[in-house]
Order: sequence, then C-alpha cells, then structure tokens
Amino acid sequence: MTGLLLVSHSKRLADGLAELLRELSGSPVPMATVGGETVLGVDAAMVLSGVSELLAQGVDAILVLGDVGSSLFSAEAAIEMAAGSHRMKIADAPLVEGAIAAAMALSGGGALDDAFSAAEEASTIRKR
Amino acid sequence: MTNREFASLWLCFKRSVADSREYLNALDAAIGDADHGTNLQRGLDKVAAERAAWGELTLDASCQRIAMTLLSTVGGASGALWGSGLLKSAAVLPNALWCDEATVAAAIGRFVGSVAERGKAVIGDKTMLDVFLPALHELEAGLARGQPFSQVVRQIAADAGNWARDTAALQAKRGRAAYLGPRSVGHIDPGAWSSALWWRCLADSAGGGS
Repeated sequence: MTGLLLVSHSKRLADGLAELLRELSGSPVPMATVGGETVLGVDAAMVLSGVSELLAQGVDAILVLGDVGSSLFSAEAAIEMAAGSHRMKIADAPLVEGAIAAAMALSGGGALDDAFSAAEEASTIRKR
Repeated sequence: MTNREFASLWLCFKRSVADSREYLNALDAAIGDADHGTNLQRGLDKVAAERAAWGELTLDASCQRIAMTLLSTVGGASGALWGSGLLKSAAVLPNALWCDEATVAAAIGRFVGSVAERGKAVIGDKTMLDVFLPALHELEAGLARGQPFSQVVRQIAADAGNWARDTAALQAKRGRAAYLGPRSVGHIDPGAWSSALWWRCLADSAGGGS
C-alpha cells in the first residue's frame, strides 16, 4: 500500500491539504503531514517522523510532495537516513495539484509509480 | 587532522556563528527569512552540548554525529545541506583518531559534491558554494603543489571573506532568494558568509601544525 507524505514549511498548510484530499479522493488514502507549527520550517527529523507515522499505518511505499525548495532537501536527506525496506519517491510537482493527482491515482488502485507520474504530470496541466 | 582538532573546528564554528548571529540574520532578512544565524546557532549549540558526552570519538563517528544533529535541529536548506554533506564526509573519514591532510581534502570534496548535487547549484548562483567551491579548488591546488596544509587553509581563510562578499554582486539562482530575481543583487548571501566562518575555524583549528 502506498501513502502520501505532505511536507510543508507550515503544518497547517499540509493539514489543510490533507483535509482537501480526503474530500476529493473517494476511497481513503494513507496520508501523513509534516511541517512547522510554532516555528515555520521543516527539517529531516520531522520528515522521518512522518515516514514512521505512515509505516505504522501499514504503508510499504511513500510518495513525498513538498512545498518550496528546502522542504524537498529535507525530504531527500530523510530518505538517505531512513532504514527499512519501504520504497520512497519525491515528486517534482506543485504541492496542491500534485497531491490531488497522486491521491486520485492511489484511490483508483494505483501504486507508487502511478502516483508519482500523476503528480509530476500535474505540473503540465493548465488551470485556464 | 586529529579528532581533537576536528572537535575544536566545530566548537570554533559554534562560537563564530553565535558571535555573528545577528549579522547572519540581517543578511538573511534581506533575501530570505531572517533566521540563518538563529537556525545554525541552534544546531551548533546542540553539537557543542553533545560533544561533552562523546568522549574520544573517531573522526568518522564524530562527523556522523554532527551530521545527524544538524539534520534534526537546523531547519530549512542549511540543515539538510550541511547535514547530508557531512554524512558524505563521514563516509571517507577513517575509523581512527587521526587522518592525513589528503583525507581531509577528500572529505571536504565529498561535502561540496553533496551540497552541489542536493542544491542543484553551481558557482555564481549566490549560495554557500560560492565560498566552498573556490576554497576546495585552492585546497586541492595548494596540496598538489606541495604547500603545507596549514599555509593553504590560512590563505583560504583570508580569501573566504572576500568570496562571500563577492556574492553581493550576484543574482540568486537557488533557494528562496531566487524568487527575488534582480532584487537579490546587492546583498551578501548568508550561507556564503557562514561558510567563510567555517573556513576561518578550519584554519584556526588545523592550521597551526605542519
């Protein structure tokens, strides 16, 4: 089972996005959110705790989506540090659109690679 | 380099960053989120606090501990770049209390490679690499010429402040400052400045011998 890890400088931003995804995705998709609370920002240890949270939900593959620059650095560092047999990928995608596309792919029965492609393709979809 | 010199390098860096915290924050306020000094200081304070508990650690182990501490306490790009860079350095440092100078250069080379790869930055992008790349180049060239390590790193430490100051003329290509476009010109990159402090500490800690 594949889960989504939403990484933002702001935990509230990630939580709000997760709320939106639960509404849009139909069948439930495992999700965890990571971000700054009293202080904005994200570090690798926070990303690792999000990974643990997802693994505890029985996930064996994780797609990471992040907001700007350094959230992805932290995610990459966390992937290097993470032990275990689960697979992880980081999508180069806009956070909101990419997460929606990935959640739809997963709720439709897709796996990690499907969610990854869907998220990355989201950056090419024009809004108007 | 001995493990004590290595430890004194990081204690020196902690003091330098603490002394320059407000300046680093002010540099970051101009093109970022005004927390570079505070962020780095938080991580380095933790490194210094843990250092007391290490006792005698081998070079590879102490480098790895510092990396993990910075990864978990310094947020943002700096924590991830310094932390994962140091993890790469730890992989070439020996499981011993001493290493030769070529190994120090190799460890710094790994660090710089990791920062460049993770940050996808090159020279002139107005980042910490604008100090670390010329510094690494000078270090390798100096050692290849047969100059003593201490002499080479002292010269680099003297030049590093200028390399950092020169980032003021550059337009940021990476990180949040890049969103400012041409408005990033005229401000020194805070990551370049803190990198210059690190090289001064290397010269102070390991530049005395040989």
